[in-house]
Order: sequence, then C-alpha cells, then structure tokens
Amino acid sequence: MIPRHLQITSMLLLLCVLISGTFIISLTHREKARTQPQGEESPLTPPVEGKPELIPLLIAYDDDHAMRWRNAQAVLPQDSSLRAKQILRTLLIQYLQTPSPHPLAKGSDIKEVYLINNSTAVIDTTAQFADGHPSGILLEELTLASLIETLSANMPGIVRVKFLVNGKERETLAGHADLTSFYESSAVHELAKEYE
Amino acid sequence: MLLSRRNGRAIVCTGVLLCCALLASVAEPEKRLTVYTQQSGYSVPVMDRGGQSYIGIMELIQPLGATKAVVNGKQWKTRINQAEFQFTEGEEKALIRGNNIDLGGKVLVEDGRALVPLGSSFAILSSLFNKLVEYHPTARRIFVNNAATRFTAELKKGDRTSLLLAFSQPVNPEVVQEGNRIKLLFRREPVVSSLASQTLADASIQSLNFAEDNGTALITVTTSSPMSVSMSADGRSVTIQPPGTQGSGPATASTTPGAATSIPATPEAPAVAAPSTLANPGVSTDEPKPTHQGPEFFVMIDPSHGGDDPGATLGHQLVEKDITLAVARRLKAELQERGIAARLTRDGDINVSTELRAETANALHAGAYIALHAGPPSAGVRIYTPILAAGAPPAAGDFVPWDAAQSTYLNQSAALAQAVMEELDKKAVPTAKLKAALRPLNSIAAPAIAVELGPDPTSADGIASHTFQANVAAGLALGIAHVKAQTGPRL
Repeated sequence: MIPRHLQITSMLLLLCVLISGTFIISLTHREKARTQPQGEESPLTPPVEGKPELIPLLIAYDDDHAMRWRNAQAVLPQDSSLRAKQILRTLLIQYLQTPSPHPLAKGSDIKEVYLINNSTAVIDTTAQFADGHPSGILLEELTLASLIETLSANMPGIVRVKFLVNGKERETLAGHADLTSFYESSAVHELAKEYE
Repeated sequence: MLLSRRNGRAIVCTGVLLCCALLASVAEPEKRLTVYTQQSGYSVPVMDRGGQSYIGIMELIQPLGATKAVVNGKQWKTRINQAEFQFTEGEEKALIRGNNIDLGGKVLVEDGRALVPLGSSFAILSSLFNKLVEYHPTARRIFVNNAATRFTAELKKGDRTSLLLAFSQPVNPEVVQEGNRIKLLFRREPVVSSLASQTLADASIQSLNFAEDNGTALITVTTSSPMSVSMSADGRSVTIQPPGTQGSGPATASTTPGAATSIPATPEAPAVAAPSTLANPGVSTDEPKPTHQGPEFFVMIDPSHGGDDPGATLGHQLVEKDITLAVARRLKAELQERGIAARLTRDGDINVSTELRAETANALHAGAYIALHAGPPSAGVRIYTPILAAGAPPAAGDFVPWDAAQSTYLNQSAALAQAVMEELDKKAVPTAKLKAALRPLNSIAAPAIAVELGPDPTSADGIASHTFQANVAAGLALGIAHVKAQTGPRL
C-alpha cells in the first residue's frame, strides 16, 4: 500500500511535468514562427543594402489593355543576377498592391534570375506566380511582356529570356502564353509597342 | 381439276418466293458502325432499342485491346492499357480514366451483352485512347488516330484532259462505269473527303462527288464521254482519262467504256509518282501550281482546352472549353454553308494536347488553322497572329524546326487576321488585332490565327449568347471565305 502523501506528491510532480512540457512546446512554436524565413505568400521587400536607384518599369493595365512606363525607386545590388532579380521583384510589387492595375496571385515572386553571358536571362518564378495567374491570352501576354521589357530596359545586354516555374520548365503560363520557348527581346519590344 | 389445283398451288408458291426475293433485294443492308485504326478496320452491328440506335460496347472496344469485362452485379469493368472503363446497367454515365462520360442514354444488358447508345461511341473511344478520334455520324464511320485515307484530285489539262486521284494510302476500289459516270467504291478502305461535291470546270471531266454510308465510301466522277480508269501499281493513284491515252499515264486495270461494268481495279503497271498537290511545309512553292486543287482544302478549327483543362473561368459555371467548342461547331457550319470544308481538333469534352492539335493540322495538310479561345479582361474579339521572326522558305527537302513551321506563313496569317477583323467590324463586333506567343501557333504549317472572345464584364451571359456567338462565327467564316476567294484554293 502506497502512503497517501506519496500519491499526492507523485500526482503533483506529474502535473508539473505536463505544465512545463506544454509551456516548452508553445515556446518552441513561438520561436520557430519568429525565426522562420518569410514565406512565399509574404509581401515582397526590397533589400536593405545599397543606394536607391530610379528604374523604369513597363506596367500592364488590364482595364484598357495598355502598358505604360513608370519610374520606381529600388535599391539594387551590384551582382548582375541579383540586380535583375530585384528589378523584376520591384515590378511585381506593383502588381501585388491593392488595387492593382494587373492583379497577380498572392505569393507571385521571382526566385532567381540566371544570366548566361549577360545576354540570356532565365527567370525562375515561384509556383504561385503561374498556378494563380489569371487565365487568358491577353492577360498572360501582358505579364510576360511587362517582365521582359522591364528587364531589357534596365539591362540592355539581355537579348533572350526564358521562364521557369519553381525551377522546372512548364508548357504555358496559365493555359496560353508559351513558356517552352526563349523569347527574343527585340520581338517582345515590337509586341509591347502595340500596347503602349 | 387436280392438275389445275396443283398448278394453282405452284403459282402461289412461286409468287410468294418471288415476293420474298424482291423484298430481300430491296431490304436495307444491316446497319453497322465501322471503326478504322491504323492497323485494321472492323464493324459492329447497330440495333434499334426503343427508337434509339445501340451497339455492343464490348464488340466495339475488344478488338482495340480491351480486357474481358468483370461484371459485379450491374457494374461492368474493363481496361484498355492503363485506361479503366466502368459502366453500370441502367445508368446514363460511364467512368473512363476517372472522368464521367455522358452516354446519351441508358446502358442496356441483354443476354449478358452490354449495349450503349451509338452516339456515345465517339466519346468513349476519345476518352479511352486520348488520341484524335474522327466520327462521321451519318455514315457511322469512326477513325482512330488519323486512320483515314485522304486523297487529292488534280486535273491535268492538255490535248487530252485527265484526272489524277492521289491517295495517302494504297487503295483497291471497285470501279463501276455507268454511262458517263465513273464510280470508285471503297468497301474496306477508310477513304474520306472534306467536301461532298467539287465542280472541276472542264468540258470533258466535269465534277467529282464523294459520299459515304454504312462503312463504304464512293467517289463519283462525271464526264462528258466514257473514260478509261487505270491504277498505279502501288495502289496510291487512280487516273481517269479518255480511252487510248494509256501510254502516257500509269497504266492498267482499266474499265471498258460503254456498258456498266464492275471490276476491282488491280494494279499491274509500274507506279508513276503523283505530283503533290498537298501543302508541303517548308518546301518552296515556286513550282507552277496545278490547274485544279482537289477537295483537300479544309480549315482546321481548334477549340482550345477540353477534358481536364477547363481554360479560363468566365462566370458562374461558364468555362472557356465549353465556349470554344460551341463557337467551333457554329464556325464549322458557317464555313460548310459557304462551301468550305472544316474539321475540329476535338468535337467533345476530351483532352487533346497542343502538340497533337498541331500534329493533326499539319498531318492532314490543313489549308488554314483557327484556334478559338475565350478569356478576360474585356468584351469583344481579339485576333492574334504568331509572334515569330519571318523565315525564308527552306530548300526543298530540308527539315523545318517544329517551333518555326509557321515562319514561312506569317504574311498569309496576317492577311487572314486582317480579313477576319474587317468582317467582324462590319458586324459591329469590337475587335483588336494583336500578336501572341501562343501554343501551338508557331508549329502550324499553314496560315494560322487565334481568336479570343472576351466576356462582357456587365453581363456574364454575353459570351454564351446565341447572337454573339453566331455573329462571331459568321464574321470569321466570311473573313476566311474572302481570303480564299482572293488567293485561290490555298490561302
């Protein structure tokens, strides 16, 4: 027969273990949430280092099927690939605002831009950029033309552009615009003029 | 008296027998559905059940490799390769590759044999094979994976005019000459044509007609006088010419002009290469054009999306794939009313890849290609031409990159877009002409455009309305007819 006082002590100790365990788990979750890198659905943020520069962006407007040049300030790194990535992210910020002239899905972002001989750019986008993109020839064309023209205007050596989605090749952006081919900047420039 | 009674019985019996023979001779042949694949052809009987035509489903799919059906109560299951097919007695829907297929009537089971409505055969085969299936409902003929044999007709004018029929596959028709009509009857070959009738504008060889029914195809050539018919040894071409000109053509097995005759045209002589009248992608067209282009010209209409791919969402329960199919069917009818043949890359809610759409248009040598789309952001119609650098026609025999097959057709595509836009403008449909990098336009070896119908933001039903779709289809057909009239048989 276990004495009564030992039973009570054991119960109290067990209760203490449970309470402290729960507390530790909640602390771990809180810390994880605090230190976790921002998810793909978080708003885009500019880099914190470098000098702000004025960059031209070709922005698409769905309401009147037009594209117009606008200037924006961005802090651009020296590295060409990072610079290209930041230019395109600055453009996407315009589309992710509310209200947006050309709404894109939450989480649309540029993962990487790979430059080959400083003349060919391979733009790797997030899955949300393509998965959540509104379907339609015109809407998809406006997105791609806006990205390619903005990149070409800020990095004139780029003559060919290719898109990847989450590191992989995809047939179309959202059922229409071709993502399998390389886009010639000069051809896209002619196309964009039709919308300006 | 006995003799006369016997005579009477004999007369009655003879009369009854004669009547039976007469009825048998005029009775319609058994209705059959004929299925052609690239390897073989077979037919299944068509039965009438309650005023609706039915066929045995296992008879339809077992020759194509279906496993024996497993029956569990009222449920039937079978499989072809990786595709599972389930249907239930008394139900109007079947499950193929996990997709619900509307059969258009209940599944019947009679003596352990499952019957489905004849009209569902197209949807069943399309969904099972995921390949292009062409269905000719009135003739009850189905062609799986481009199994059809097509032909061109070339009229060679000269001292003695002749007509050369060139077939894409060897054929062996029965040739019947009735006066000034030559009939080529194809009992086994999957011969098809886009046009039912073609006037040849020649005094001696006047017209060519095509008809198909119950598994047979018939080409009838009307001439001003009896002609001889000869076949090449490879069975790929038939020449119709005045008698006595055999030496100049691919000789032999000719019919005797005069009384009606019926003989199979057996090839004997060496083949003569038929001059190609088909659009040959990438081959220079500097050679003189033949005086007549046969019934091969047709417009390939491509209703985008389909099956698992709904395309853009245009409103409540309104998706792009349904709008494009509806407009495609209207456009086909409008073109046919104007004497222009047309085909659809899909004529049901099925998956067809963009690559297969381009392959089909190119393999069949489409004269023009119209991709139909529907999507935001605004109302009206947007017409797109391919965004591609113009290319010089490659030398004969050179390969053309798949993604640049369109490069030598850009001018014709632009002309087609302009003509279509003008006709739509006349119908007060707001239009815009643009360029797009849209699959599979760059791979089409023919004048090609894409047409995108925009939903009216103020009315979700606008794009689905009969008036709007009819207006767009009529405008497109008029534009195509206009360009065809200006440029001739090939755009």
